[in-house]
Amino acid sequence: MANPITPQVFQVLLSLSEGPRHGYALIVDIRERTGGQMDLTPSTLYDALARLSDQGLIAETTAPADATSADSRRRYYQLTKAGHSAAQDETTRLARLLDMARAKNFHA
Amino acid sequence: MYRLLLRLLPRHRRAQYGDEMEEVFAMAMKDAKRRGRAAGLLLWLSELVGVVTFAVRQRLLPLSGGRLAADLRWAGKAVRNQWHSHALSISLLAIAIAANGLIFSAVDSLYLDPYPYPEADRIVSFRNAAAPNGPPFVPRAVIQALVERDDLFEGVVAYATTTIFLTGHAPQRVRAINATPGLLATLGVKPAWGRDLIAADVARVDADAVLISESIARTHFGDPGLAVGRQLASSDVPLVVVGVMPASFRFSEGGVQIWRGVDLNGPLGQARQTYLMQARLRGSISPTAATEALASMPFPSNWRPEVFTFTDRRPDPIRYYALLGAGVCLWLTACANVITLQLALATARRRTFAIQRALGATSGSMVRAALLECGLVIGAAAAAGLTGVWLLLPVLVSSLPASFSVSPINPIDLDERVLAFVLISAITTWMLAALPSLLVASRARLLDVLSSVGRAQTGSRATQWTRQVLTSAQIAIAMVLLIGCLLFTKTYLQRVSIDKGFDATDLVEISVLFPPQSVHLMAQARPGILARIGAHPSVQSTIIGSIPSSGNSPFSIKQLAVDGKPLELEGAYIRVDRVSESYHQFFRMPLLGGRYFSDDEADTSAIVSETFARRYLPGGAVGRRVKLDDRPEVVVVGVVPHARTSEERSLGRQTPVIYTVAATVTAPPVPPAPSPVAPGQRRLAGPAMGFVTVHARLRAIDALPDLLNAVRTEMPGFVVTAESVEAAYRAREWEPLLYAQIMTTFGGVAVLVALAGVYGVVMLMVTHRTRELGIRMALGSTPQRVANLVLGASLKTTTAGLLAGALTAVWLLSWLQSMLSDARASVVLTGALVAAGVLAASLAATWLPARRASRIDPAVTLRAE
Repeated sequence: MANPITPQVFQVLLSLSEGPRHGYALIVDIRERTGGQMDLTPSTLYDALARLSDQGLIAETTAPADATSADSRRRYYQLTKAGHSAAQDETTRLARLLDMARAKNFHA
Repeated sequence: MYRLLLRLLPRHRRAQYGDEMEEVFAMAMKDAKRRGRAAGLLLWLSELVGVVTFAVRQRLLPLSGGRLAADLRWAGKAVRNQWHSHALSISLLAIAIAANGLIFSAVDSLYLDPYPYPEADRIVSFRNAAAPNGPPFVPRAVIQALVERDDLFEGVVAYATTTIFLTGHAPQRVRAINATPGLLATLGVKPAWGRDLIAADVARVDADAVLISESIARTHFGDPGLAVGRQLASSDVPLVVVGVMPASFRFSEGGVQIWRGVDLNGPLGQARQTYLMQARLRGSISPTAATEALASMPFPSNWRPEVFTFTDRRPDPIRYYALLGAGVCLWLTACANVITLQLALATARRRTFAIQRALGATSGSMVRAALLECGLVIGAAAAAGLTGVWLLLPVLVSSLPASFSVSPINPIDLDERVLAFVLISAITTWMLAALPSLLVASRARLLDVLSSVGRAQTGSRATQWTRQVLTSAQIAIAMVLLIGCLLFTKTYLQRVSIDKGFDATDLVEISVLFPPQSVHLMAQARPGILARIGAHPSVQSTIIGSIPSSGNSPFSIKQLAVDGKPLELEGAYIRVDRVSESYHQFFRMPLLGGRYFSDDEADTSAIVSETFARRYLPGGAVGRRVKLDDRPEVVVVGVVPHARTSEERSLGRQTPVIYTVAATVTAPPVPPAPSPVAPGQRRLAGPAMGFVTVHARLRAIDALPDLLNAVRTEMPGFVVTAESVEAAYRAREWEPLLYAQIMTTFGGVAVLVALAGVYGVVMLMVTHRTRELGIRMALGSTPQRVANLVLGASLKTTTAGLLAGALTAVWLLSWLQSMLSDARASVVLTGALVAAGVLAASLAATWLPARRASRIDPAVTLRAE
């Protein structure tokens, strides 16, 4: 990607890296992983999904075999190869930033 | 509402994600509501911003190819350059948006959407068509027949209001409902925790299954989720909590916090003979069709069912339209002011627009720039206005009478409908405010601009005319609001100063509540309570009984005979009050004829109100013999003024009253305490509680708080309340006071804005005509005559506004007559007063421009040529 991806989009890519998920599952997973720091609203999520889909970083897929009957009716999303690469590139960029900060004696 | 919001998105995105977003939003909202109402509101606000951002990104980015950010930066810079002008617009619009949001929230809750249940227009109640003015109670004998009509109704419930006394560590007297199972399903709602009442719940005799409010749950259990399955101790059998209703849920009988399951054939259900009922119509059956279908059923002869909906119960809308109208007037004033300002700013930038067009700017880009610039201003105003609504709504609710903060089924709060209203107001204002810039920018031509170099940029004649019209409109609106303010103020003052028929000076009403376990002691305790209150040093005298304007309920009499001759009656209602001998003297009711009761007055004597005397005893009341129905005949010994009730005060009706002497009763023997209830059985409910009401004449009304504290200290364990009778009368007239306050506030703001508009228009006129005025003075005109010229121009604008305002006020008056006293007689004088005041203020606002015009130096003006 030409520009750094936003934190919200990066979290969506991280969630999808574990396997296909539907919309609400993404919101719950991101909220739990960030300890409530990032609580995506539906509009923010689907705005991000729309952009990722347009850029070919995610694609729609069918429900996994172990989905409940309610979940099986929902639309699932999964990472494409380009999405994996974008997530990896962003991780590398963030790691490089972290190294620069550590070099200046800033520590998490 | 959410589906409506999604319409902001392009069609292909709605088709792609719309259903999913609705489902996910519903799930997220359910989660948020579990965390509290604030979390739900925050989610709505965040989603509002999110959907707008999503929509903007989807709609504008493809067209602008990424120039949106640059356009936003330019718009921001333009707003910053004129920040002082825009700050005034933002402030004014924020006030108008906040005021309208507050008013809409109240009107929406009280009138437009008072029943926020799913498909509320399918929920019906029943009343007796044979007695349409009576209360909508249904006899027990009829209830089962209605329940069995499942061809007409999907669910039918019967319920009755009651009071439950919670004991334990947090004693509480709670308004409650005894209801047959299925109440929540009929309303289409669910508990936030636990479940609804079911048939098996009402079979228990050792405990009552209940639904409780979130407030009760938090008070007694902390977390509402922990309340389900737990018990509450009450003065009767324990209450088992099966479900908790969210704080946002309200029932049609205001203030209910416990819903108790009841079997109509059980001991609790049999305690009442009539119930209220609600049902949900099946399919597409209408209330009229249901009424017709029920007409053929064999009901008791004095009861014919009529089915009516919630919306049939809505009050007269005129008072709510008046409120909305006042808010709209203020909003229009703010819009007119903003448009005038935008017009002035756009005119000043005409050269810039012309140069931009000459350099190749397209109409589309100029439209986008104008919209973005206005959007930033209006967006800031909307955000500030919404914050004002959120902060001031609790203040509004606390200033309303308790019946309006507790009773509305749809609480007066900041919900999605209020958000939508604020959004629509903001978008409409945005479109209107952007018009001047769009019009000026679209007509700006470089050649025209270059040819007018050196002249003051005050705009064309059309622009000036538009500004004058907008200013006149603001004056007209201010006049309407100020006339309304004075008329409502006059109505309020007339109502609170009306002759009550008795002297309420330093008079207080003290009520002592006896809970169920002590109510059998009430009669015995009365003399002691009277003595305790009477012994307080601030008390002059006391009496047990109601004030003259609120005695027993009037009843319909069938026969009235005067001096042995029966009178012709047509549905007459009379009130009969049994009072002590000193009653009329205690309340200082003047004698209009005859005498007061004496200390040993016979119980065959009566005192009548002047209404009774005028209507039934013409030619003199004293000494006449009166017999009502099968009551003993009495002799009239005196006539007193009619003591008006608050309802009579408003509607001008007067119910005749006849006072007879209550027989002196020695303190009755103490009845035995109720015997314990046998296991497995329920006590048939007797009176749940009782009040002893004492009226006391104080030496000074300021002593009321001390008196109340002293009585509470002497009677621990009892709920004691007290209020001034005068204050209670004033509190009943809250409506005209509220309207007077709103109109005063709005009218004050509107007139200040209008005066600022007058000043601006006249100052611009002086600037535009500086050359002309200089030439006039050079040719011999005096400064005074020049100043008069300017004042004349202001007079023209103001007079046009006053005339339009007066005509509008007269037209609106025909709608508001029912709310105002003597409106027609007052409007001419009131209008003249307001017009004189506004005219004087307008001329004062013109003083500075006129002074500037009178000081124009002709030599300087001509040298500039």
